[in-house]
Amino acid sequence: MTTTHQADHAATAARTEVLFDEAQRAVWRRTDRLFAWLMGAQWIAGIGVALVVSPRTWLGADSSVHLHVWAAVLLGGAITGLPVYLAITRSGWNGTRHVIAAAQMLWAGLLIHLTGGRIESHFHIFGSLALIAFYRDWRVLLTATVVTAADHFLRGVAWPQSLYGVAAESTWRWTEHAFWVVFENAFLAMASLQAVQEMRNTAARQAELETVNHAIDQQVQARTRELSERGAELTTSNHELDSIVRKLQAMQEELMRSGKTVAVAAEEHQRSTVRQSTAVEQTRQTMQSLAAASSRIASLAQEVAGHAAQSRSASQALGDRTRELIDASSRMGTLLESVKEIATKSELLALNAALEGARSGEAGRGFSLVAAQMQRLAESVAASVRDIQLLLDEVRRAGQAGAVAIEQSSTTAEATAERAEQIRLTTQQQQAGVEQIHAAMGDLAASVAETVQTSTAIAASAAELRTMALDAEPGANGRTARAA
Amino acid sequence: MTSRAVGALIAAWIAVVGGGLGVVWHHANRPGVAAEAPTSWPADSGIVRAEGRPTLVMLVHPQCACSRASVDELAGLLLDVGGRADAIVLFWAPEGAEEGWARNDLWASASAIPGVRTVVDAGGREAARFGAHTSGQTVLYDAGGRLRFAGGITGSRGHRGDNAGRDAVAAIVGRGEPAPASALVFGCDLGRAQGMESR
Repeated sequence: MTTTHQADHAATAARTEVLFDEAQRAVWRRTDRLFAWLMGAQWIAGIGVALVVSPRTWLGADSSVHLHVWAAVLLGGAITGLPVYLAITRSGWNGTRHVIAAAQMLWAGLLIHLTGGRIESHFHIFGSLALIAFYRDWRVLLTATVVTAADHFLRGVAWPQSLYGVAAESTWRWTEHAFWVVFENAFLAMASLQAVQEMRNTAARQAELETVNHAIDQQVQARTRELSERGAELTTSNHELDSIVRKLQAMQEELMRSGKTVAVAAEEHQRSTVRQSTAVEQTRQTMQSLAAASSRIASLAQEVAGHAAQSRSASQALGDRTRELIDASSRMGTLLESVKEIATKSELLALNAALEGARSGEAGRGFSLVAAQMQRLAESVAASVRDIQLLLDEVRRAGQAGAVAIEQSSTTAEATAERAEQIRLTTQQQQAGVEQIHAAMGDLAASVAETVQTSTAIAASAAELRTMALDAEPGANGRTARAA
Repeated sequence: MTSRAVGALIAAWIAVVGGGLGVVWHHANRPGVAAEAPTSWPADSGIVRAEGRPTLVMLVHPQCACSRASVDELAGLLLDVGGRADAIVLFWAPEGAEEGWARNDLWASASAIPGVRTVVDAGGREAARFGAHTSGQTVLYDAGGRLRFAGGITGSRGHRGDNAGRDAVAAIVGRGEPAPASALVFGCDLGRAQGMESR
């Protein structure tokens, strides 16, 4: 544990140095870029000042371009060139900011010179020192101070009157000017050191934060791995769930279709059941009517059987009478044969009497007339006998035919009675069956009524099922989307 | 670029910039031709000297950029001496020059200084009488008309600030102390030699 703590501390310290170095270099690079722009701006400003303040130099009425203009263009360009080049190509390099500091102070001197030594332009020196302090490097301030001091020293040595006006005091007068620069630099250097210390503290805090963050990152990575694994499992589960959802969707769609089909079928079944109920009711009524008709038929059949029995009895009596008629006819025939024989004999007798009358002449004429009348009577009787015989024959034939018919009628009546009895029995059975059917129709009607109610309930359930399926669809889709 | 090359570049830069600055400083500190001022107020001068008061005469080239520093120093000097001397600024102008040539913004600045008279010195006749060759040339005559100082009152060309000439004049006029009677003068040449050649 202690070893790990020491290792973390060492790593944090090393990281602090790295971060501090990065921050410091970032400050240096940023300030290098700032001065690169500033140098360019100063060059332009210097040329502008030269053109405004001292554009031309005069010799009597003649003039030429003032040396200040050339100095601003050429010397200003020279002062600007190297620091800008280094700021671009070697930004952050130690030498770059020292060159920049030197150039900035040289620019201060040049601008003071170009403005004719205006006291306001001396502020450029102190402003430049403040800007140089942006580097947060006291060594750069030192460079700037040295350059300024050197500038004053050298000018004080070479042209003492130009700086201080008093040549005798010039050797050491530069120290007075340098003092104010040092005065400012002292505070700027302190500020720089404090800023550097703050940067170091910030780097240390950041390093500690990074160490903590690293530990947290490791934990987060571990948790992330776990989460990833859980995520993979969840993804698998989601896939499965998605599959289930898809199946459920398919089932739901099928359910919707089935629900629709069931609803349609239920409605159709409902209508069919209603029609069936109506038909059953009609059938039940028909069966009821049929039962009544069967009962009526049975009653009629019984009456028919009774009438058939009566008819058969009448036929038997008629047959007996017919046979008696036939017998009477036969006996009448016998009697007619006797009459016929008497007639024949009467005719023969009349004929003999006529003959006898004819031979008796006038005395026999009357006789002959009676004989003739008797013959005609005999002939008439013979003819009537023949007619009666014919009638008797016809009566006998008719009686025989009637007997046969009566026999047939009797037979028919008997058969009718039997059929009527059978019909009665059958009708009774039919009636019993119809009553059973009627009862069954009653049960069937009740069942159909229940079926109607059931069909209605099924139709309602199917509609509800379809509604539920439709309602369930977005949820299922959402679940699918989440699963995906 | 190698470090050695960068070092060489920096060295070259120091040399070029140092050389350039040297040229500029040399130019700035190269004094003009000193005046051959008469020891007494020139009798032929058209300028009237103040009686019983020191009189300070400054000759300037109105177009010379360096002269503005001289006029500014004059303003400060007169403040220092507290009105103990009259001051006249002669604005050199070539013969036949338009009036605006001399009466420019520098003229306005000089005229605005309390106790200063501004005069156009057409053809540089007064400059010749006071022996001035350089813009900014200042001569001081005491109440008796004797020359007490001849020189410039700037430390270098067009450069404001403490300088020996101004201190000398301030000491003589303001405090009545002994002081150097001359100082270097910095400014444009008034062209007297050119004029003489042309004449």
